[in-house]
Amino acid sequence: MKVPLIKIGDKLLVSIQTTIIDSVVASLREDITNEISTSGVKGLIIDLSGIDIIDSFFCRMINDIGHDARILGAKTVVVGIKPELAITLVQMGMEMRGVMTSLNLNKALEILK
Amino acid sequence: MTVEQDDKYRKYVTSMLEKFSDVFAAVMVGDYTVRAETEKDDEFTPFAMYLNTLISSIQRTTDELSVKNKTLEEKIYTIEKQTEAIKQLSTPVIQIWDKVLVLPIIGVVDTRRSEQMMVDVLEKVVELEAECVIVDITGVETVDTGTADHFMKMVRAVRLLGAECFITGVSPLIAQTITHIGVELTGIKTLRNLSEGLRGAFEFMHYKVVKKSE
Repeated sequence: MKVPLIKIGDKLLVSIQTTIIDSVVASLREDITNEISTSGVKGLIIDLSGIDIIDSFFCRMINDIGHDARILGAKTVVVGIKPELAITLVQMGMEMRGVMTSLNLNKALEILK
Repeated sequence: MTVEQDDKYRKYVTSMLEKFSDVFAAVMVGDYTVRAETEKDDEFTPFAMYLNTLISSIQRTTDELSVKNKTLEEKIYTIEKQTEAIKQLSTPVIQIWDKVLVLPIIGVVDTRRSEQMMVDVLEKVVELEAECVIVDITGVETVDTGTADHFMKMVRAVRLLGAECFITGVSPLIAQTITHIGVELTGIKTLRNLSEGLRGAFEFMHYKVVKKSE
């Protein structure tokens, strides 16, 4: 299964609709970095609204993708984190460093404006 | 005893036993109003009297128990209602301004309550698309490492949803305690009181409050 990357103007939208396995996450990271460097987008939006369960690897990967994007000159906004997911993340002591978070896509687009 | 007498006596015993067994059967299904016959004066009379005493004592005990049960049920119902009321009262999430929520915390913050607060506040943030959450701890008397940790977690969780979170109403005593126990509040915005919190929220949302010119 491949996660589609949608390019809107100078932003790249990655919508993850279901929980994905580690290898897919790793290849997603490669795809995203490649896309950012070739198309030169200024903003990256990662939509997690379809995710109910998260593990430490996935969380670290999100952080890493955010870091990669920043180095390549794009801001990252993570949107659609559900309350239960936020609770899991803080209970596990994981943080989203280096990425911004936003409630929905609209606000993410505002942030990246 | 002749054969006839013997036969008559036998029949009498059988009929008495049948009567007793009827009484037992009635008691077994919960009917305590039945009584064994005691008018005749024969070998069965003392037995019948004992049985009647037993039945009335069972009846009394059952009645007492059912009354106690009823009061207990009422008490349990009251406790359940109060627990629900306390739960609702303990975590009110108030929308103080468009997209600004206030969570006034009063009393002791334990793990259970803090979890409930976190769930409530996060759900409200999503529901109302809030941009700012002000956690007001004016009513919190003491803060220990556990309480501070709960606040930290709440702030982080709110941030993950994409809203900003302020902690207001930190009393001088609590400020000293936090410094003393060495809790790191890095990255958490704390403000003096609720009005400062609202000012901070306006600033964050780029609002400006101006007096209407006359």
